[in-house]
Amino acid sequence: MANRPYKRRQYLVNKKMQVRYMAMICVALLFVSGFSIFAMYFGIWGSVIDEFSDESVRYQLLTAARQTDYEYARRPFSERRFSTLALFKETDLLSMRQREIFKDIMARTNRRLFWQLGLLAIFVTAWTMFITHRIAGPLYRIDQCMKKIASGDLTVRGHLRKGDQAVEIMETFNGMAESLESSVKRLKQLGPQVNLPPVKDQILNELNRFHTS
Amino acid sequence: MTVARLKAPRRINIFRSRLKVLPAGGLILLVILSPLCPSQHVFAAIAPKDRETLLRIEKDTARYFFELSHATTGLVKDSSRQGSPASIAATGFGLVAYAIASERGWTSRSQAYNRVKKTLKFALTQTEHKKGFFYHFVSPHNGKRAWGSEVSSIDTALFIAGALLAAEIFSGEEVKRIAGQLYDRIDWNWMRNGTDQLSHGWKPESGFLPYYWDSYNEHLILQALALGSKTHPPPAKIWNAWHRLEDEYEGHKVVYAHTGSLFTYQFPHAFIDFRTLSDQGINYFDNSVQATLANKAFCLQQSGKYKTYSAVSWGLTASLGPNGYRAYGARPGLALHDGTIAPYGAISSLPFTPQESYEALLSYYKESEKRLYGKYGFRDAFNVDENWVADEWLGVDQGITMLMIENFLDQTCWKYFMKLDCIKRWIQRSGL
Repeated sequence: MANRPYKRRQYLVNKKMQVRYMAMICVALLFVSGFSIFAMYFGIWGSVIDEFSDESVRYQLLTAARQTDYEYARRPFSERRFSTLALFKETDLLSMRQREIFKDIMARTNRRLFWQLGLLAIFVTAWTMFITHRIAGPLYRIDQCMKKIASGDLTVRGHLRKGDQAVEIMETFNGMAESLESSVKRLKQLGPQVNLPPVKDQILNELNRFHTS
Repeated sequence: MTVARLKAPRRINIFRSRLKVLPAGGLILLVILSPLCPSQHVFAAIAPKDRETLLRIEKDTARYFFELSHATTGLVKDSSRQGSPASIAATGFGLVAYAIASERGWTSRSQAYNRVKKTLKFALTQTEHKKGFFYHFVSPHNGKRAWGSEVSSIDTALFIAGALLAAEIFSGEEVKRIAGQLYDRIDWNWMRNGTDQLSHGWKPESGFLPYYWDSYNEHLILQALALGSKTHPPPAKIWNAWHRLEDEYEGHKVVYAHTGSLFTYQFPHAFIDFRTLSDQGINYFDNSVQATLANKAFCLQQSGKYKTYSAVSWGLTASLGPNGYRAYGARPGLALHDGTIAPYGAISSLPFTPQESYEALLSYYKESEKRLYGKYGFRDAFNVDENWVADEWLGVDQGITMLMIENFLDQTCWKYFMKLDCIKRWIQRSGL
């Protein structure tokens, strides 16, 4: 069989096996990536929120600001001097604003993550289909070739695409088929020269089971 | 609710016609105006259902002191907000709250007594002080000065008033002895700084604050305790050294406080029964009645500008507001206001204006669905115009609410406080 560019048209060459492999790989990939996303998401956000909303600092600032209010409330006739502490009264509002901002950011992030996870799932499915195709395709080809050998067709040769898994196995198989065909062909040539008619017929019958070029 | 100020002691329900807006079993209250002494008001006959409502609110309010006092020091937080320092005045109110809770059966006597004893012992031995005066704010953990606050004359007075009153209610020898030690060590005369008036306070960095109790205000309790002292009393002349400025608003003549805040007309009355006392012709109980009515009138007059104000939502007093803590008040006075009402303002005037205050209380109580009422009773303040409700409670505001409800119901604080020798000495020295 001449070498020719080999292109598979059908991606699900052995549907049952390929789907099984796809499921195994998909689950493994999704589990690993899901766990990583979960850990990173909460780990990173947890630290960010902690950093930006240190409650004890906020309460200290608020208390300090409250003291200036108390002082002035008790002595409103006194001149109210500017105190930077008063600025920290806004800390409470700031904190409320922070919470709103974080809520907003997290909602947006969650939405983005939802789409990204969808795309990831599509990508994982396509990728596993491609990978399993690279494995299942050659296995299927080898299986077909062996069945042909078993049926006596020693002319069969397998060809895989460049980059396919099991290219070497296919080459070994082809070598084995070549060797078998060559031996059988030779025996076929020698068979008629045997002078023991009953044995000769039996040998030729057996050899004729094999199809050679 | 039924309230009347009568010239004869008879039971009356003048609110019968208003039952549509009031719950059944309205407050039946009798206020007798004695013909011999125009100021001798006597309360009686509160309908059981109203009494129950008031006791429920008082009990919820008292919970603040049980839950927000430090387990070891007994010091009470200034605010329910996290990170709040302790307030020495709130701690004083807390001492009374424990004693009343014990009297009311809300807690066991031994538990309440031990709390009071522990708090007083810590105050005597550990809490930072200067000549017996405590700092306004202290760390609830160790009693050390917090946030550069001043050694405060008025806050120390409120603490000592609470200590003496709690000790009197308990009649326990040990708490009486410790409260007496705390009181006796205070050098009231030092707080004059050589003047005829008592200073607001003192700071280690700068000495005496340049502000003195020079006009009618909440400092009457400070004056009473200072003049009643047998160890370090100031001269009796300080009683006449502060101004009694009088003004009128909407027909209400008031010896007024500078801010016009209701609390200034209430704090001394939490302890002192002024009903029978006359100072140069002024009866401060009546004065607080007039100040409360003026405050309500001012709110009604401003109700066109602020949605918060109404006939059942009034009482401008110092409280939290949308923009921080403010000394809100009405006329006569500065009358700073922005539509913020503190429920404790009207409620703490229950002994002065039972009818008006109870109507306001019921109105606020109905607001509970709007977050105004919580685990410690009414939150500090609200502002309908700003769609704002405080998310915290303040210790001193809780304290005045509780004590004034108690005085309104059974005059408990007045009965015990007026028995104190120091109060008798003050009355005698000031010529009341």
